[in-house]
Amino acid sequence: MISLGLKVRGAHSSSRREPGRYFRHVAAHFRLAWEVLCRLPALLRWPVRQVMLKQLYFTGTESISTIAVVGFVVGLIVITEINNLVGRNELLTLQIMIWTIVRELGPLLTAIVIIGRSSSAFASELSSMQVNGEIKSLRSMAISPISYLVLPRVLAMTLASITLTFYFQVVAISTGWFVTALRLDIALGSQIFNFFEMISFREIAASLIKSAVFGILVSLVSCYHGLRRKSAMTEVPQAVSQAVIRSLLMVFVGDGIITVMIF
Amino acid sequence: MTTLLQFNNVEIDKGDNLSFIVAAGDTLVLNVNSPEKKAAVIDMVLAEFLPANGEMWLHGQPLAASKPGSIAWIAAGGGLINNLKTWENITLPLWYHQKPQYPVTEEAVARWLLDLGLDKQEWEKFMASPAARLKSWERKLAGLLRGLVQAPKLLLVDAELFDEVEVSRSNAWIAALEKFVLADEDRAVLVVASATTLLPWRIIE
Repeated sequence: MISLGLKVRGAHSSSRREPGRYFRHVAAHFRLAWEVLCRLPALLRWPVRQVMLKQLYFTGTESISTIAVVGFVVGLIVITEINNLVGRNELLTLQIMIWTIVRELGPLLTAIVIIGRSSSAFASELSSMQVNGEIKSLRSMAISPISYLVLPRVLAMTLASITLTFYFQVVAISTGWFVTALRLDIALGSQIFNFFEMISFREIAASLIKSAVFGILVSLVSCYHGLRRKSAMTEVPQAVSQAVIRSLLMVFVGDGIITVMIF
Repeated sequence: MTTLLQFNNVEIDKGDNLSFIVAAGDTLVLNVNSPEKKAAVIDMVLAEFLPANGEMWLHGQPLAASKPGSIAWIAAGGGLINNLKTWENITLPLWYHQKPQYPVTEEAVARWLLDLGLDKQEWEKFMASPAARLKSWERKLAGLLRGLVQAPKLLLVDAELFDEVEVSRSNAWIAALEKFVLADEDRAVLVVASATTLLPWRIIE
């Protein structure tokens, strides 16, 4: 009876504290971002650079095949729909491709692939390190977990997000050009020339900003959930699912804000 | 003798205060008779948290303000980073705080490995193995080696490091720790235990 009473009381108090807790989480994310920024000079340390290269390989290089497949399929789907919609109108086809692939789908789908692959991996790896006492071990060696674990992951994911987004766009747009050339008999050279004539600096900048912001958001959210205090291995899957869900949420919210601000 | 570490009435549990001195050249066992108190003492020496009452000094300075790298901790299980190889684990604290110096580090590691009694033929495999794949005694050995290579003023050792380790191996480790203290006049080893131990050093209770 007593334990039941305590449980119920705990549940009430936790739901009452929900708004406060939410703002504390948001503040903690900003604090983490600020600490990462302050520790940028740690990149001069060799082990930090080594972790960054490993993470760059894991998040970037190992995602290339997945991004290529997703880019190809998305390019195929988008161009088929556009061709059905606008027919042999080359300029409109290219304009819609820029709107959909360069402005929106490139950064967004790349971020989703990164979340599926790396966000969950970051959260589970850091959570396990904390439960196993590895974070404490790092601190005992006067190694800051933010400098050694978070900073290289944030930088690696941001760089990977930018380059993978570019790669996704290249694959998807090339697929679109080839399919249009084959289906509608429009010369490939003319499509490429017109594409570069039509694409504006603002669109390239928007894509770049989005991919960089998504990389920063996803890595910070994943590291934050990975490093939150845990006492048992059973808390690791919870941290992973929270990292994935919150990363997705942040990416969609961030996408909305950037799109509204730029266009 | 120079006082290296000093605890003055440090509250490690409610109503349980601890005072002791570790001088340079000492190798001591501190038996606190409970796993919780042992964890508390280790956390305090590592400045993970400050006690409610009492003072802690290292080399005449408040412990919390001591220079990074003055104390190295050897955890019961070695305290390795699982996603790094043994070599990377051992060189991590050195190369994080200083520029990597391969020949100097390799020489120091080889010297201590000889003292710790690891067969020379196994060195390469041991160093290249990811920490997660090491056997329990190998993890302990890597942790001990990392602590020795760091060459701190105070080596803080969890007494459980010696548990479930072959006697011949454990004797080699004890001899290596004694050699570590003798190698420089400004060094000491403090082993923290939660129960009676057979380690051959002076016991503070």
